[in-house]
Amino acid sequence: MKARAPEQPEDSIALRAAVLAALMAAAIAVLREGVGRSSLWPVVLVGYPLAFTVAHLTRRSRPLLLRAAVSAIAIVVVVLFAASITVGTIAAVQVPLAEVFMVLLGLQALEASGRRGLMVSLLAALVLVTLAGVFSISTALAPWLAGWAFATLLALALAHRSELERLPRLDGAASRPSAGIRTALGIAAAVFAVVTLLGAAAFAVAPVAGTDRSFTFPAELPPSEAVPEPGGLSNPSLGGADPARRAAPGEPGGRRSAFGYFGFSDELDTGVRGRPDDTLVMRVRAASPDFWRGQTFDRWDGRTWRASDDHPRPVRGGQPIGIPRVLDDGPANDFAAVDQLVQTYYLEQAGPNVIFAAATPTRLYFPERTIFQMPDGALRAGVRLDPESVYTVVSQRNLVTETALRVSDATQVAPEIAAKYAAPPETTARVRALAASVAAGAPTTYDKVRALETWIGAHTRYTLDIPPLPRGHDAVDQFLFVDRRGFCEQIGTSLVVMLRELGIPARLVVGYTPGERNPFTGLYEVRARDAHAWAEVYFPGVGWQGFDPTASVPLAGDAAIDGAGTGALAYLNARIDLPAWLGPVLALLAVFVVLSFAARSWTRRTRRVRAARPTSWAGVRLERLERLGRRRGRDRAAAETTPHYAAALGALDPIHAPALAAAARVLDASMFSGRAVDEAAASAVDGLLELLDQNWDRARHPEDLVPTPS
Amino acid sequence: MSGRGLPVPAAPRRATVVLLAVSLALYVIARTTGAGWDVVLMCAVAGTLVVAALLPAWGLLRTGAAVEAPRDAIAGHPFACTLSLSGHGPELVVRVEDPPGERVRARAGTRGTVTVVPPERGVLHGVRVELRHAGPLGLFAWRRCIRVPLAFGVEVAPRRSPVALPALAGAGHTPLDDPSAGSPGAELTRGARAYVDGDPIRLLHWPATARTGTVLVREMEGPRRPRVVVVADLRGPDPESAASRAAAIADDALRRGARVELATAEPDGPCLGEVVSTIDVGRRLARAVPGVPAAVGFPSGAQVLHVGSTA
Repeated sequence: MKARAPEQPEDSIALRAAVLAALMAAAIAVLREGVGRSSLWPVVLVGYPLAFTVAHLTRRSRPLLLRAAVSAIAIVVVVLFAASITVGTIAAVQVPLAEVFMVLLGLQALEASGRRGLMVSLLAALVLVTLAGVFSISTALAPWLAGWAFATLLALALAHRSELERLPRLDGAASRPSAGIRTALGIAAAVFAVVTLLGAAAFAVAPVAGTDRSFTFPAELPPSEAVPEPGGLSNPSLGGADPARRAAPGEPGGRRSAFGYFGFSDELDTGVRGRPDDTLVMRVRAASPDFWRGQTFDRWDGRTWRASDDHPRPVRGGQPIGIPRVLDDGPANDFAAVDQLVQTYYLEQAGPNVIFAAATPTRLYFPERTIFQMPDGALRAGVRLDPESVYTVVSQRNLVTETALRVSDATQVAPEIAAKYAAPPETTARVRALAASVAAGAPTTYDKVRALETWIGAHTRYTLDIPPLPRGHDAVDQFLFVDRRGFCEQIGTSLVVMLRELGIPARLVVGYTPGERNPFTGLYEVRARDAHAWAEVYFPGVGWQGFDPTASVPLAGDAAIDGAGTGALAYLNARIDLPAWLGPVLALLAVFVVLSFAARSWTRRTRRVRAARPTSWAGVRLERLERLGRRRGRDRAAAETTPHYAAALGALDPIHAPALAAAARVLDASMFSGRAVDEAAASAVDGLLELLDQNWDRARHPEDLVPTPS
Repeated sequence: MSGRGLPVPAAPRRATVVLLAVSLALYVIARTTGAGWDVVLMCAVAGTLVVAALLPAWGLLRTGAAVEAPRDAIAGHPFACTLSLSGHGPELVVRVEDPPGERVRARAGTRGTVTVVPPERGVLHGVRVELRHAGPLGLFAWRRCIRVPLAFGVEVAPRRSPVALPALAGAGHTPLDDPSAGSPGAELTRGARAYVDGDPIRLLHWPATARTGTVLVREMEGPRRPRVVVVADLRGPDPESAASRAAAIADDALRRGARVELATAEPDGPCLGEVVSTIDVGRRLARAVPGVPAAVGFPSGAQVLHVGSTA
């Protein structure tokens, strides 16, 4: 077996510092994500630099005592970790594992006496950054990632340089360490820029993060209190302005938060006006977009939506909690194409205790063992959902397509579904007439829905600025025939009412649109303004499918994202407020940089050529002879003496061979004797060169060659 | 033939393999956890690998090499040659690969001396230079072999075997094992003549001067040197060994004052010629190839020594 050669100590302080910087940037990136206990901060901020310093100072001696101590501490740390973990989900082990890894890294740094050890630290930094990427849900990671990347590239450049410096230099000159660091910094900066460009290109086509095969299902609740009534709806964001919320005994009233949405309540009054702001209410990690459903309403009185059955039933379970089907979901069907959509919700604001989920949730990872399910399938937590609450839902989606929806008409709607959701609604005669006329030519349920959507899209305008609903007026009639302006509540309600008028089961859903996808985190950033109401239509054999003319409701089968970087430029553009003049200035700057680079290269080349050009009498003539020889097809070989070269040229042109030999002797004598060339010999050489210049121009016609004058 | 040689990837480095594994791990992690940042990281690692893989090849393409070597060398003995790197490439690792030499680092535009050791006898018309580069990140190495023609071939003489010339004696020859043979002072006086300016004083013939009254000096005649023909027949299983023994014998004969002629076979045919120095011997044997050595034209009275591969 080949024995591994002992590692040579690494003397480069710059390399050690670069590795330390990369490691610290990676560790801080992890700690900033809230991973690990606060006692790890001093380990990273003080322990790591100390370990690197000790490793550098002891790189040649490597004291046995120190090594023994490091080994002992490492064993203790690993044993403590093994004793502390409990068998559970991967998510439960992630954080302790990250903690012990960071401690072990500090110990490993103590042992990093050579380049190999430093490269191990660099690799460990990459692992830490990966970990930070797993935990990060915001773009706050970006600067740390950039810092880590630059330090890593610098360390790699310095390590390569250090490796080279182990070899002797060809010219025997000594290296200057400061010049090496400057060069490495320049290289790291240039490579960083190129890697950024290449990485951006790769990012545009890279697969999107997340699939239906997930191994981690985060679920975490900060200390939170139970809602006043188990299974009841609690929405602190509506404050005292919630006209329908059940008031908790002794609960102080208050103003509605700017991000509160009236739809997350026991009833939805379409006459109430309110405009949620841009507050980030939650982030959703999911592989593809969907509507994050909150709850549904099935009873309409011409102005207000309510749920006909608001009795929640508790659902208990471990991790995960299995979500049972409900009667309103209709009979179970065996749909041909289904997928699982794993969604993790990271709440940013204290909102309703509604557990959002894409249709149809089957499993829930939630720290509480009991949740509540409404008859329509909507889920509610038994506790308040405060900021930093995290839960994961696994939904099973039928991958529906237009064809699948069209053929579903062949199946009968279950009577209980039809009775609850397809009964003629409370509305005016002209709304009924409109529904009938618009859907008259549509052969299937799906076509009827699309026809109504198209009509609404063509004859109404989406706006949040609409006049108040006059008392006693039908909201749908007011929207379709009077105002012709409205927002999601009016539009969705109109669609549901007209569909019910046609005998198609439909209901109103409130929740959030997918929000804007952050291409870097891969999370959908859901803001208060993304709160939405839309229609759901029941298709026998398929289930409930969302429709909305005001927002593109993606059919699950068509919701793929092209690449991880899709929309990255638009995302950055929307967030970085750059002045208009910056674009042209940057373009000009880029042109200037390119031109400067080209000019610098040209100047350097010219200087090199000039510096290499001879200035002595003989040097100038020899250069001309070489030029002529090249024209004749014979380059002067390296280390070929002038007489040898002249003889080689003479072999190509025997007529001038004697003169060439004589000229070579004169040139050699001039170059090496230190005596001046006499005038006659000089003019003979010049004459010969002139003659060759004329004759070798016509070298393809040997008959033009004239004899050399004696 | 001068070969420019295109860069080819060297054996993969451990760091490259590790980074590829990390990229794969990042992909799996990103796909199973939905971590978007890990996709960004994966793209950055991929970009780094692309840069690390392509830049060294570009650097190698921009670098050329030229070599100047001495005319004579001995197999197995190091000799120095001057290596010049041209172009605008970065600092890289250079090694004269054939004949094998030491590994050095060099930047384009520099020149210096490297030591190479020719493993066997022959004429080197060119050397193969290996340029190796993994910069700037040291993750992925490329190598490029350039065949550099030499202005003059390096004639690599064979190693000298520890073989002594057998004792020689012949009619009219001073025996080679006679310690006085060929050495100064062994001359014979052929006659005397009048002194002219510049004659060494030691040659003054004092008795004749005294007798004639004219300053006379001795006229000397050197001893007759024995003649040796070394026939190097390199046909057979071990031509190198035969060449080594032939060289050793010829050197020994020269050292002992003999006139030596070498009979060899060269690419142009059989060759017979006198050698006057060990360098001459080395050059002739460097050019020698397995073949029928010259068998005619040996000087009369010369002692002929056959050295063959099977001897």
